[in-house]
Amino acid sequence: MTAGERSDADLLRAHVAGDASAFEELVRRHRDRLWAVALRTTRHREEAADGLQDALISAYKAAGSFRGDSAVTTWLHRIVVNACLDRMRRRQSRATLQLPEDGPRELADTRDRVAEQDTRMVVEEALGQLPAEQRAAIVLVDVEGWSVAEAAAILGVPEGTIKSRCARGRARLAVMLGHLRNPGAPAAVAPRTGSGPGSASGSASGSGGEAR
Amino acid sequence: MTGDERPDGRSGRHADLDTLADLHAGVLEGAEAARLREHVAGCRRCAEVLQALDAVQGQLRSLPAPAMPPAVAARLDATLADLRSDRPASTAPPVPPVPPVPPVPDPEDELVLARARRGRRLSRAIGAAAAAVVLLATGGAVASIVRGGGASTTASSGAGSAASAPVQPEEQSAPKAAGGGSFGNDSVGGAPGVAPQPVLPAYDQASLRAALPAIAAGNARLAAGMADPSRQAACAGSIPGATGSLRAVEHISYLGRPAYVFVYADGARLTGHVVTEACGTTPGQAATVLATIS
Repeated sequence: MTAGERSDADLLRAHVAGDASAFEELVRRHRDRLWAVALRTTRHREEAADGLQDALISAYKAAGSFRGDSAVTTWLHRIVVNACLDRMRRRQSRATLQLPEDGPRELADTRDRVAEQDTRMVVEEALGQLPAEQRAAIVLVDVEGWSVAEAAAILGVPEGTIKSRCARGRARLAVMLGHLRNPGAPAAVAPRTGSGPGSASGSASGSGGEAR
Repeated sequence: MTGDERPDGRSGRHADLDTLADLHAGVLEGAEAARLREHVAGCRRCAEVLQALDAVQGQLRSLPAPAMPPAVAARLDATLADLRSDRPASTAPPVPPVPPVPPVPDPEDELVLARARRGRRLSRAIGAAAAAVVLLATGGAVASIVRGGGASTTASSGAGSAASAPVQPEEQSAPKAAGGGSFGNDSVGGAPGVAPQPVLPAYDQASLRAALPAIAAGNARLAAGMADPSRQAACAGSIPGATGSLRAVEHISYLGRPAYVFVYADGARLTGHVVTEACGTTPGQAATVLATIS
C-alpha cells in the first residue's frame, strides 16, 4: 500500500480526527457495493436511496464509536442493511402491506422466460419474493459473497440463523425458479409444514414458513 | 427455525425440501447430517434437490452488480457535502464535490429527478420570496445583498410586514454553504435554464427576531432544499418544545451556517426554531437546535 493509498480504517480514523474529505473517499470506494446491497435488500429504488442516505448519515456521525473489531466494510454494510430493513419495516407497518400468505410458487411463465437474457431478471424477481430477512442473508452470502460469519456480523444474528435463513431462501428460490419442476423426481418432495394451500398444483409448494 | 421442530428425513424415507436445504446449507450436524447424507447417496430424487440448490446458488452468484443511478449518486454527494458543512469548521479547505450530471437522464430515474425538479422549482420561488424580504428590509440597498447572480430580484407580494433588520451579508464568507449542500437541490438534472444556487438569506439572532413576521408571512410549504414534505415533517416533529401552528419554513444562513428556521405562531407570538441543515434526515433523532428566537 502506497503512502497515498490509505486503508479503510485509516480513512475512518482520519474522518473522526476531522479530515473533511476522508469519509467521502471511504464512501466513494464502497458505494457501488453498498448500493447493490441496499437495492437488493429493499427491492425499491427510492427506498434504497433513502436507506443508503440514512445509513451514510449515521455512519458519518457514529464513526467515532467504531471500535475496529470488524472490518470497516462489514461495519458499513451492517449500517446500510439495517437502515434498509428498518425502512422496510416502518413502511410495512404503515401500509399494512399484503404479503402472500402461501408458500412460494413458481413465477409465472418462468420456463418461457428462461431465455439467456431474461434469466437474471427472473432471478432478481424471485429474490424479491423472499421475506426480507431471508433475502438479506441470501444477498450477502450468495450474491455478494460474504462468508456466513461476516453475514452474521453484518446482520447481527448468530451464524446458525444465517445458515438457516439461507437454507429457507434457497429452497424457496429452487421452487420459484423451476428447478424442482422436473416431474417424477423432486416435485414429489413434500413440503415440510404442509401449510401450502393446495391451490398451486399441490406439488412443490415448499415451506410455508414465516411471511416476514 | 431451530432444529428441534424438524421432522426428520431419516434414511429410508425421502427428506423434505427444507431438511435437504438445511443439509445443503450446513445447518444439520453430526449424526443427523450423516444419516441424511447416507440416504441421499442412494436416492436420485433427493440428490437432485441438492443439485437444484447448487443451481440456485450458481444463479445468485452470477447476478451482476447494479450500477448506482447518476441521480442517486448526485444525491449522496449532496448529502455528504451537507454533512460536511454541518460539521464544526475544520482546517481543511472545503472542496465541494462535483456530482456527475447526466446530459440525458435515465428515464428510470424519473422519481428521483422529479423530486429534484420539485425542489428546484421551490427553491426558485423561495429565492424570489427571500429577495423580496431583502428588498423590504434594506430599503433598496439590494445590490449589496443579492449577489452572484443568484436570486431573482423580482419583487413578489408574498412578504408582508416590514422587517427593519439589517441583513448581514455573510454569504460570501461562508463557503461551507457552497457546493450543493442541501438535499434534492440543483445538483441533479442538467436541464437548461436551471436556477443557480440560491443565496441563503443571512441572519443573526437580532436580525432573525426582527424578520420573523416577514418570514411568517411567507409560506409554510416545502422549504428550498428540503427534498420532500416527509423530511420536512420529520424535522418539524423532532424539534423539542415547538408549539403552536407552523407558519413558515425557510432555508437560511444563521451566523454563517446553513440552517432551517421553522416559524411557529402561538396566538400572536411568533417563535423561530433554527435547526441544522441535516434536520429530519435521521429518523428518530431530535433536531439540533441552533437557536430559539421569539
